[in-house]
Amino acid sequence: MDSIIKIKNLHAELSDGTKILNGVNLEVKPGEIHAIMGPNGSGKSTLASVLAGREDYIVTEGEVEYNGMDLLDLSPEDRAREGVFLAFQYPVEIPGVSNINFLKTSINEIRAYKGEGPISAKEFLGMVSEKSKLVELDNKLKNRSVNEGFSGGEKKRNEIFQMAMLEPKLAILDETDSGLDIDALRIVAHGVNTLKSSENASIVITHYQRLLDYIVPDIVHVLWNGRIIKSGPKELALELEDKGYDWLKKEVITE
Amino acid sequence: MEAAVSEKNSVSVFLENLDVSENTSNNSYVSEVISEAKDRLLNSKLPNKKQESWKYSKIAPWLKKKYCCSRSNEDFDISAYASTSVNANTLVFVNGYYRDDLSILRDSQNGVIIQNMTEAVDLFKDDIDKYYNKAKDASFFADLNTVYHTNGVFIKVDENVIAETTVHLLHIQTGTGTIAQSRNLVILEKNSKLDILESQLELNASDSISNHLSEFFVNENALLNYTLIQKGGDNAAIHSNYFIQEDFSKLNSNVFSLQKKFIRNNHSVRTVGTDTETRLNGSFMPGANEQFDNRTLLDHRNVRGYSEEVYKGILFEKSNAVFYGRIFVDQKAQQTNAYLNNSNILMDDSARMHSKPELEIYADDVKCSHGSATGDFDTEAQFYLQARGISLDSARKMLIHAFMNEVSGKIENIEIRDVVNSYMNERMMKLDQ
Repeated sequence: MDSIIKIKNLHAELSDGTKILNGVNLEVKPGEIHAIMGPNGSGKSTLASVLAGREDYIVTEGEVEYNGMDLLDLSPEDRAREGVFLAFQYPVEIPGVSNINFLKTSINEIRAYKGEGPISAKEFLGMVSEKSKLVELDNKLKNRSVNEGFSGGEKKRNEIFQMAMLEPKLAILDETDSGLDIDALRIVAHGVNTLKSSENASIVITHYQRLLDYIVPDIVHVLWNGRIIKSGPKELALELEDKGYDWLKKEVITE
Repeated sequence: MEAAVSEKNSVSVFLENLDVSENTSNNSYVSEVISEAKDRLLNSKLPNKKQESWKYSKIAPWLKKKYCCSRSNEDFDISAYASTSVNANTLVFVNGYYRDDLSILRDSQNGVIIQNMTEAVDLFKDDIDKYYNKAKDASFFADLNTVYHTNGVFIKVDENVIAETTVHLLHIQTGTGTIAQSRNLVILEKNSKLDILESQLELNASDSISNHLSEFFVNENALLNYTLIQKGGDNAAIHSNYFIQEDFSKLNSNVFSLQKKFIRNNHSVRTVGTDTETRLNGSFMPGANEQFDNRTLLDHRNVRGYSEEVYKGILFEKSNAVFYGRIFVDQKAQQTNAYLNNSNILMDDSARMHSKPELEIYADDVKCSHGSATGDFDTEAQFYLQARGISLDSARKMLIHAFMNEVSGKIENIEIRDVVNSYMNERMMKLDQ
């Protein structure tokens, strides 16, 4: 089966030359959920940012094949239009832009890219009401400015709401669990699980194992020092929860 | 001593280079006002950067030029100006001269007097004696206007009258090296209401200057909605508004400085009555080699005044802007509630912003706050929008709009708001390329 994304020997650094990714290899196939774990500073968020096209990072080596295309060659907006979705670790507040207008613009630009006409008001509102139920997003929040004055949990639910609206092929969830209480965590996970299909895939980046109780991964990877040092079944996450990361680091060093 | 003499000479030189005749009046009071202003002018210095009020704005090059007041009879289509799409009684001034042939007086209404200023001085002597020159200050440009203004409009809304049609003052500057100075007087009697739109536009003008001045008297329980649009060409605009508010009166002023080589707005409000409400808002978007200077004064003189002031700027490459907002609270003005905020976005490292909010409070039971923030364009928000499939270009526009719309969103009249937004869009498309 063809993969959705194939990352080969990816190296990336900051503009000041600080190397963050040092040869990441990862392949994700349709229908799969991959978890990426690792200690702080291991490069997890950088990997998410590079895939989404954030300009702060320079790719110095390697390639990323997405759906048969060279992903790194696409602008951030074209990546999104091709079905890559990044759920932000820190969703940005945008005063003066209503959540609903923002989403409508987003959907229509994606449709225009695909050569489709703008979405009808009826269809759009129907979608909004269906998808916001999925993450139990308060009606009032939809008309407010994007993320402005939202609680931490509301911001994360808003990310999953957007994901539901845009129906991506590849979702990258960057520490979506951070700062969530158990209820919000359950709601977010329910949203992600409901959206899962045999056509799409997710990369779930997390620091803690607890999210993986709700979103069950097919494969768990451990990122350290900008490289994936171990991959394994979902039980690996539990092992990490028990033993921490040090034993793995030692393993790598002794290699 | 020698320096002082040469400065004094510079005013004389400027006035000699001004090919405009001095005003005279049959009204003894007005005549006295003119001669006092003339005396002050001759004894003043040209505005220069050694003066605190002109420290950051380079007016000097504009005062070295020669100006003449070319009366133009050129016929043109005013409907080409977007602001004329607002349903209004439109009074057209070309280079400061009233053009009856171009003006459109759609609706006349009992109790709403709209009169050519020159005639009003005779026809409304009591009002002139009571109000004329009573709000303005004695600054250089105000005096210059008093002595050399050409014409203007006298508007009076009678007691208990709601003016149903917006009054639109459309200033068009045309020609090279012209000076346009209108002088306007607006009186809202008790319990009246009026919407005014003033737009300063141009027709092939360059190296020209305008120095319009208006005085507004908002009497007891009256409401004035005022909007100013400034746009057009390689010209300078000095614009002065003086508002006086009586008991329970309300004033909403929204100012949009969109394009000109040089803009200096002197807008001041004095609340002499109790329980006044004042909202002063502004947006400015200077482009390359343009300099916009907004100077406001909110002078709270009586109890329980409420004021809210928001000025927002977006500064593009090589532009320069100044915001100076002063709130003065008199000892008598207890329970004043005043809020002032200026925020700015610098789109480029070469843009310069000078922001100076100032509070001067002599009463002890007041609630006043002021703030100022200037920063770069939010690239994090831009990336967030891009990551949702929105193009870089749309993302930037959405964000600039969102920032600026806070001010245009305060305009109650939808037609005027739409016109302002379309002027802002047009401006943005030219600047953000």
